[in-house]
Amino acid sequence: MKLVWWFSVPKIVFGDDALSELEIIQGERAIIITDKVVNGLGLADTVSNKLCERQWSTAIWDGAIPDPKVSTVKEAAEAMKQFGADWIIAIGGGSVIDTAKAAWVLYEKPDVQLDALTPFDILGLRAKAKLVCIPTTAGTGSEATKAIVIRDDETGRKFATINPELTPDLALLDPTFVVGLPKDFTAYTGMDALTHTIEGYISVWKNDFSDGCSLQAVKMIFNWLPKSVEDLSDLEAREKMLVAACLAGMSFGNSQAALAHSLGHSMGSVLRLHHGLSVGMALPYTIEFNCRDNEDCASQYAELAGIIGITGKDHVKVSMKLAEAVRDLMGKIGSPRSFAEAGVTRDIFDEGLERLVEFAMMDSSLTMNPRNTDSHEIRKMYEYMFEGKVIDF
Amino acid sequence: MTEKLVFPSDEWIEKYVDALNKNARYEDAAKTWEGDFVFQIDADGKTIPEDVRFYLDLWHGKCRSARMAGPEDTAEFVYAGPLSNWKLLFDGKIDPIKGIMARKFKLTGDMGKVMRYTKAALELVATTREIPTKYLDE
Ligand SMILES: NC(=O)c1ccc[n+]([C@@H]2O[C@H](COP(=O)([O-])OP(=O)(O)OC[C@H]3O[C@@H](n4cnc5c(N)ncnc54)[C@H](O)[C@@H]3O)[C@@H](O)[C@H]2O)c1
Ligand SMILES: [Fe+2]
Repeated sequence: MKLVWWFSVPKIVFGDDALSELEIIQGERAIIITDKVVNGLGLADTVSNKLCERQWSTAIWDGAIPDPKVSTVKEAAEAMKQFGADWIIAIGGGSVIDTAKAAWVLYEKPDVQLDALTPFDILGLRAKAKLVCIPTTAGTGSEATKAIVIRDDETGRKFATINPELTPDLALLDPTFVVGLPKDFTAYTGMDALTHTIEGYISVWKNDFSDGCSLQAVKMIFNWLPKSVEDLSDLEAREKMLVAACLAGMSFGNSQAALAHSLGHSMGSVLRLHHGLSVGMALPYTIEFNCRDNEDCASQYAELAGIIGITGKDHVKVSMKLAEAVRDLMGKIGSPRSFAEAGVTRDIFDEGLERLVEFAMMDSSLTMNPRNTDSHEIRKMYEYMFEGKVIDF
Repeated sequence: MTEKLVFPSDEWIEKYVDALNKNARYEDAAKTWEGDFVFQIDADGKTIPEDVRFYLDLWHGKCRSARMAGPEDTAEFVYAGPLSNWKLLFDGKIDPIKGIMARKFKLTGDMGKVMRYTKAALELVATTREIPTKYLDE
């Protein structure tokens, strides 16, 4: 028998006029959490105006930064408290959404230490406010997950944690909120979604519910990501990617991410590379690494490969072809396949390598990776990633 | 055939510490870990009339000392669950972190600290597979 487990997702509203959901939620005071870029696009005002028509009071806090720091989260929590919000509305990419989620915790429970937050804590969220997320990137799926990724101010280490109460109440998927996203971020965030869907499918915590989401998301991402990068104003492609990223979030949010995220979080911490660029770069290498040692895992990769038309009896070979297909996709959309392609020089790489390995080893996503690893293998993997070499160990 | 050792017992612990201190993967994952543990098999009112506990002092990738422990023994962390769940854990049916989430085990102590060393926790469990084990109720 399977161990007791849970599948949790927010209420997800999608399709034409998804924002109309704001017309039926009950409340009085909404604080919009966003960043300066997104605010500059007028997206926060669009939402604020909708609520003000219904006599809500709203405030906009636009201090979020990429890869949020604990100190930034505290500022957002202070703004929530000052305003006395009963709804928190996050409008932005994963950085904004995670800022809002983490600040929500501090708003409700000011004594919580974010770096000590664990999946097991009972927080009692929603005593003060509920959370709506409106993603403006089609990538992290954070609008559908109970995860947050925050950066420690002192060490710069990004730490990921989950807590069941952090699943937002509502996710609104409106493709017009993503059209402003430039080409590079469209590609990188799309790779984040692909990494979630593939890792969610091979995680040792996988389950039938997360599998269902992954299978659909893989198909959609291979089909629609190139189109959404090619023509940034293609609303259909934007919408499909928004749905796929959310499905990918529903998958890994309930089964967890794995090695590519451990490697990627560390790259974000040490080299300050974008999250999607980082985990996407790591993805094909981790497929090649994981499939060698573990027949179950290889057959899972093969199932995913089948969806995009790669078939064969030898699951390891099929997995290696899946990694190749991921690299081809990255080539097509302009997402770096090696540190060298990402513009990281040998000197910078060498200087950061020790910390890259150290932080990756501390990352909780390693727990869910099907193949056991150690720091020597992780170092070697980074070396291969520098040059773009196919993993052969 | 190797003789099976009762989990937990002095003999089992001795073999376990020996194996753990030879496990290079554990040493690698726990090289900066500092903290001791009491592990507890919960009383079930039948085969196990009282909680059975043992103690491991884990320090920088090695186990410095270990022994059976009594109810009064404390440590920075206590990891506790019924025998049936210890069996699932040792059989690889659940991992130590998922075990806490699924409420099969209870961990007391700074959980945030443990979450930075989940790799080490997996190796602690993996090492038990090297010990021919029979359980208290066998
Ligand atoms: N909690 C989770 O489940 C989860 C999952 C994956 C990643 N993450 C975290 O999310 C963060 C990354 O989020 P992201 O990839 O969405 O990027 P991001 O939120 O950091 O945004 C990247 C850049 O794009 C800009 N931007 C966002 N939307 C835009 C739009 N519509 N038009 C123009 N510019 C726009 C932002 O201002 C920013 O400069 C990382 O910190 C990562 O660790 C969290
Ligand atoms: Fe991610």
